[in-house]
Amino acid sequence: MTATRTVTIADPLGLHARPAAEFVSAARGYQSDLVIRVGDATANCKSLLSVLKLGIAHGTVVVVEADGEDEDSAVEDLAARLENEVQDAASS
Amino acid sequence: MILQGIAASGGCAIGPLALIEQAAAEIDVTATSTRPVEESLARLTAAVEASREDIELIAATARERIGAENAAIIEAQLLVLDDPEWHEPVVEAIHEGATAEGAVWRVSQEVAAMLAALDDPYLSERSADILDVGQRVVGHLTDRRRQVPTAGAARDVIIGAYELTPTDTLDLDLEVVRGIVTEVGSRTAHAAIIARQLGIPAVVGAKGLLDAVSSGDLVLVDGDRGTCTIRPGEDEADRARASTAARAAREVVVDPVSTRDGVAVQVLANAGSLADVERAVAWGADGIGLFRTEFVFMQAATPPDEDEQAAHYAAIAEAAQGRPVTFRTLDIGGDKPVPGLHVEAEANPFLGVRGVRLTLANEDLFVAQLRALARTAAAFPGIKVMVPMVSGLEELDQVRALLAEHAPDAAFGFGTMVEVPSAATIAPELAEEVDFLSVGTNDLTAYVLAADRGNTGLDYLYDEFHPAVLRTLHQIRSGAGATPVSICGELAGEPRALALLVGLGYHQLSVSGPLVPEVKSAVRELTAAATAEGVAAVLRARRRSEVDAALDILAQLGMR
Repeated sequence: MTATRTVTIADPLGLHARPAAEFVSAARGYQSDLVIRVGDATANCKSLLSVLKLGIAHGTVVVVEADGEDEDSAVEDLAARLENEVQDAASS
Repeated sequence: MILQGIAASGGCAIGPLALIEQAAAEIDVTATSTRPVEESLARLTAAVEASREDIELIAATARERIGAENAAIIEAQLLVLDDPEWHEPVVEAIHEGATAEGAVWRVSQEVAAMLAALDDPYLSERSADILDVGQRVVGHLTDRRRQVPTAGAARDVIIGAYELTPTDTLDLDLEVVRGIVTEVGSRTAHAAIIARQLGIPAVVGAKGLLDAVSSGDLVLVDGDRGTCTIRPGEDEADRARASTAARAAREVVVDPVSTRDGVAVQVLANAGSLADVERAVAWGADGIGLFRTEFVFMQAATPPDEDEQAAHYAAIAEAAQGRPVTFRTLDIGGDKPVPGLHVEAEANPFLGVRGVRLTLANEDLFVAQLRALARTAAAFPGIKVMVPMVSGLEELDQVRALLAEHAPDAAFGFGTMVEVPSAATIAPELAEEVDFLSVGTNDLTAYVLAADRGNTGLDYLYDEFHPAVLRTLHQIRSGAGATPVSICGELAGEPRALALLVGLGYHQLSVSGPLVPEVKSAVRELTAAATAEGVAAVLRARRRSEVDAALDILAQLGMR
């Protein structure tokens, strides 16, 4: 079983810099294996270096996949972060 | 012996050199370990944990010293420590027989090289962080931490290194460290940025440094000229000590200052970040005469939108605590890439699409910035906006058309930079059509003399005291009539230039934050009315040597 969710990156900064660091920190809170997919490229959500190398910009459509015991809550949380990062960025 | 490097952080400092050794430099990455694998892995874990504690401590002090904005540079290093893409190859290499330090250093170099090779300035900068982390872990493994000299070391030392990492720079004890000089590095490296925030004079890229010096040598670092003098002569050393002592003794003057004969001179600070503004206020600046908006663009992966910019600019205005702030619209070109903004590579970016030329060609970007600034001006009084690289009235017409269409209620004072010689020539016409002018003497000097400031082969030519540059300053100020004209280049903070600039009629000087107390004190010792004769002599000078002689006379006259 794998849980997946497709979202559009809402943060105008894209998944870069601090948003990426926050995303990776959140991903590390889950047991499941977590992957973020852009087209054919994939990254391990628990690796900042891996996520940064995707260079995900604002408006990119990404797929979050989770495989493990807490896959449903992990996918839900991470997808929501990608869609809701806007306020966080604006207040910083 | 004088080494020419890159001026990374302004000011002068003199003292014995303390060299920082690179802990990882001599690590043999191909060595086979004689220890059992389990022992190497345990050593790795211990070193990673020790490094994590270091970085957490540094990040905590960084938040206090350079603000949360810049401290994020350090915090990102924590994530690298347990990043599987770094950690797993290290463990794997140890299993294959490598020493822990060899594995850490090899993997760090590989990951850093991979990031540096990506076509993205943000990621390239990250590669320095990876090496910084690797260096630190290796230091713990080999018990050769990069010890930055602190208390107990000789006082007033100059730190020398092949390269200084961001965490090294933050580790520096400001009670002890007076200056920085490195063999490699760039003005935009994180370490250089942090040095500027901390107000430590720094010269980077001084090639030949490590060959020429050893610890304990007396060195003189001139962070304004980008030079490092090794074992200076007695006279030179005394002069440097006197001038740095005088600077250190300057008290912060919070109130506005006037000359002895009552000419008010506004002493403002140049800034590029929130932390700069906070420091400028602490130094007693009367306001921010140049806020470089590039910083907010450089930090993001894509250009920030209007809302984000408005929030950022409001924070800047807030930090200025009611003092005026002059924002310069985006000043970039082919030589200063901004993430997410495509700028064509040009054969000659210095004479290419930069400043207002670039923003007018990217109208959406420009409109978002102008609207964000208009919103800031609606909430804060004293906000001014100026446009860089203007060469004619047509460009002003276009900017004003954009403003009329997209921000008709903009309440900010609107001005133009003068750094292109054509703008200097038509200063009277520009002055009639804007609220103020601001002379960027660094670029103006380069354009008047057709000499790139960063080109070490042209050191003899790039000179703000060239007669042509000084006459151009006179031409601009006298041509502008009643319109206020400020100076925001480095000449404004040059002690030798003060009497001349005030005598020419420049009564708004924007200097780097740490220079504010010195300039304010000097203004109060000056008599503006006594400068006329000296100013005339400077403007008559035919050669640089005659400028020098006239400036000496001027200094005596003005201080009477």
